[in-house]
Amino acid sequence: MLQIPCPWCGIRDESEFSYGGEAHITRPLNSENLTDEEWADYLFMRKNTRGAFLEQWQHAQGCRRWFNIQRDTVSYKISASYKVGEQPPQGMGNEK
Amino acid sequence: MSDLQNGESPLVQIDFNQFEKVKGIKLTELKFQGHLNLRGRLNDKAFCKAISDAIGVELTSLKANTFILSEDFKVYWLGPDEWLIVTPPDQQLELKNTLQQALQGIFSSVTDVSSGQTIISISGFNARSLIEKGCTIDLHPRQFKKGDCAQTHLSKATVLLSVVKSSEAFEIIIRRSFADYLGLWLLDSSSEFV
Ligand SMILES: [Zn+2]
Repeated sequence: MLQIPCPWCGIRDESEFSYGGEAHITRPLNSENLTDEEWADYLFMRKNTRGAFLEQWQHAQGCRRWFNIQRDTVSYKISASYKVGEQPPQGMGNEK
Repeated sequence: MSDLQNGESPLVQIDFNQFEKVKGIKLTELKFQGHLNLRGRLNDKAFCKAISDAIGVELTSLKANTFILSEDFKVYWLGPDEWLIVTPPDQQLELKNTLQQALQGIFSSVTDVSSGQTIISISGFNARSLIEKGCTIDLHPRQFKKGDCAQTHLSKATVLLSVVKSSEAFEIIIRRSFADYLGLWLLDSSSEFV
């Protein structure tokens, strides 16, 4: 089981959390002007990164807040945890 | 008037007398307490002042995953903008009205959730061992001491667990729909201490 650090509650077992997929995807402001392809890209297309990855989790059975972590998808090592609205660790960002 | 006046506790089917045979565990229900869910912004000075005037608690100094006793009220941290206030029976409506009056025009909410949950108190020298059977949080007093609380799961049921006395006395706030299940689980799990 993963041990996930919640920015408010500290390290808790994975069973308290739910996964929210790739982090830092922003909803386009001009959605009415997007082509179907661009809209589908926002809605459905996600990275499948091998290595360090920024992703969203929710502390569903704890404080119920959403937050982001940096997790290596190969080793599962979690190297950062930060609140929504905060910047990812320096030099880090999911590739476009 | 409380709508709980003629109500039944969600634990009505649990025979608490059975816990009397259990060594080192005293288990009781704190029935019909008032539970108010409070939400608001900590960076809003008017919000914090309204709360401290009404219940004497400075929300900004209430740390994450702790609770505080103020007069008759217990205030639990639930999230960075969310708290639970537990009042003695039949005081929740008065407090709710006071708070709503004080919070007029301030971005906030006060919700009476009294009938949605109940409290189980567990104390005694085996209390910690009993809870540890279904809880992955470290309950040793070096990690989880008097005044601490945690929202977690106990035998898969979502609970708000708090420490009344380090390592010896705990309180569990449980949703009414899970109360019967948790009561039965506690009975079953405490059988080894009979
Ligand atoms: Zn949390």
